[in-house]
Amino acid sequence: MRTLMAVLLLLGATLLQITLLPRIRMLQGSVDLVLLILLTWMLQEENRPDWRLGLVAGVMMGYASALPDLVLIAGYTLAALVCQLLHRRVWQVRMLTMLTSLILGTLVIHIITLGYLWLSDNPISAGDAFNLITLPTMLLNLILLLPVNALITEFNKLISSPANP
Amino acid sequence: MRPSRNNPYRLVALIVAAAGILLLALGGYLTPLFTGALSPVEGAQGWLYTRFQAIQDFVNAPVNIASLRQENAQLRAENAQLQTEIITLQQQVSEGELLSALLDFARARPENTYQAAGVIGQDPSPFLHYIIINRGSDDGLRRGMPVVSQQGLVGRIAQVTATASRVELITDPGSQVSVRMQPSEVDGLLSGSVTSQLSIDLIPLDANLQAGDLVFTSGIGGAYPGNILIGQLSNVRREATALFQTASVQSAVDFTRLEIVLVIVNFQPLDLSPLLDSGG
Repeated sequence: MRTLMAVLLLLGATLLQITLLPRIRMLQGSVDLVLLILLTWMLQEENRPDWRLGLVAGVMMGYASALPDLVLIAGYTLAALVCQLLHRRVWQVRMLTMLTSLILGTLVIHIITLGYLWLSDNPISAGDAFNLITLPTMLLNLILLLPVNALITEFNKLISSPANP
Repeated sequence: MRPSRNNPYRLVALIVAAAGILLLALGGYLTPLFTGALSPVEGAQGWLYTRFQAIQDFVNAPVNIASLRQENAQLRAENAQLQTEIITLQQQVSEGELLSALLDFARARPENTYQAAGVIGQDPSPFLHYIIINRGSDDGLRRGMPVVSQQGLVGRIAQVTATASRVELITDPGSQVSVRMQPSEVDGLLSGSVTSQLSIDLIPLDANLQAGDLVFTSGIGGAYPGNILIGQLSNVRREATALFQTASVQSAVDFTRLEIVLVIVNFQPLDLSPLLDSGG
């Protein structure tokens, strides 16, 4: 039931990601709501971090994007794995884990995308990519982390209440 | 002594007194007297009227508030409905103007066949500049077909499903378009970038270009039909050690406001890859 809810949330986030969110830009970066929801969901106290949710997010984003599915599947799965690893072994402070996972997750996804673009004979300057895309995206993600986390926490409480077993 | 009823002097005196009073009143000499005399009466009348009105309002107030609230709610609902109608009509006018402009564009190029499509999304990756349109292979769209707006060239179809297509914009870092500048008739290669800025490379050094020159598709390479407006040169750079000039282009299309586009469905892009493979 909880996994189904998570998949539905990710589906909604993917729809927002292709319709509304690309219009909200800082330089060339845009917020990655799918990654935000993935990480905040995985780090809720009621949920166990599961890298397979990253796989689902990658499949959805791969379908929505012109990038090859494998690139985004690898990116989001790795981001989820980083989150899972941090949660298990490094820190127990949830917000700190969330922040670190978000920064590392954004970096992982962008590095994999950039690597693919270089390999596919479509080189983008690493400096431009970092300054114009990755840093603004990271900043937007960090700005939205707290509100998204609050929403996901409330949603978790809602579906965890006795009325909704 | 009892006065006589029929005393004529008394009657005359009364008439003279009445006429005198009348004349004094008409002359305005009695106004202060009247004002002074009527002032307490008017004050009492005003006081009574105010109290009566207050009592009347107190008695009728609940009925009035209820009816006013009902009327207010009705007016609010009516206002909301009218506002919605205004917004709908404004959208229709805007859409009508856009369609009219697209129709003008299509009429100006009768050699092409167009399929109109609405923009329904953008690529979620910030590294790519693609849009998604609501027409696909069911509507006759194929990969490689050029996409234009009433302002000029938008891009070409990169992927097609039955009901939707993905369009690679000319601003995408991977996009390359053969272009020709007017009036110099010089060819070059237009490329997109991460920042959505367009630049032209491979311009011969002896070409005389000016900022403001128009940029059209050249049709060379077979990927796009010729003579579609792209934009105008914003600046030209010539370096002493470079083999070619480069130029920046201000696109004619506002890619952030794309709503409806036209796909040129009767254009078949050429696939030159077999020739290139045999050559390599």
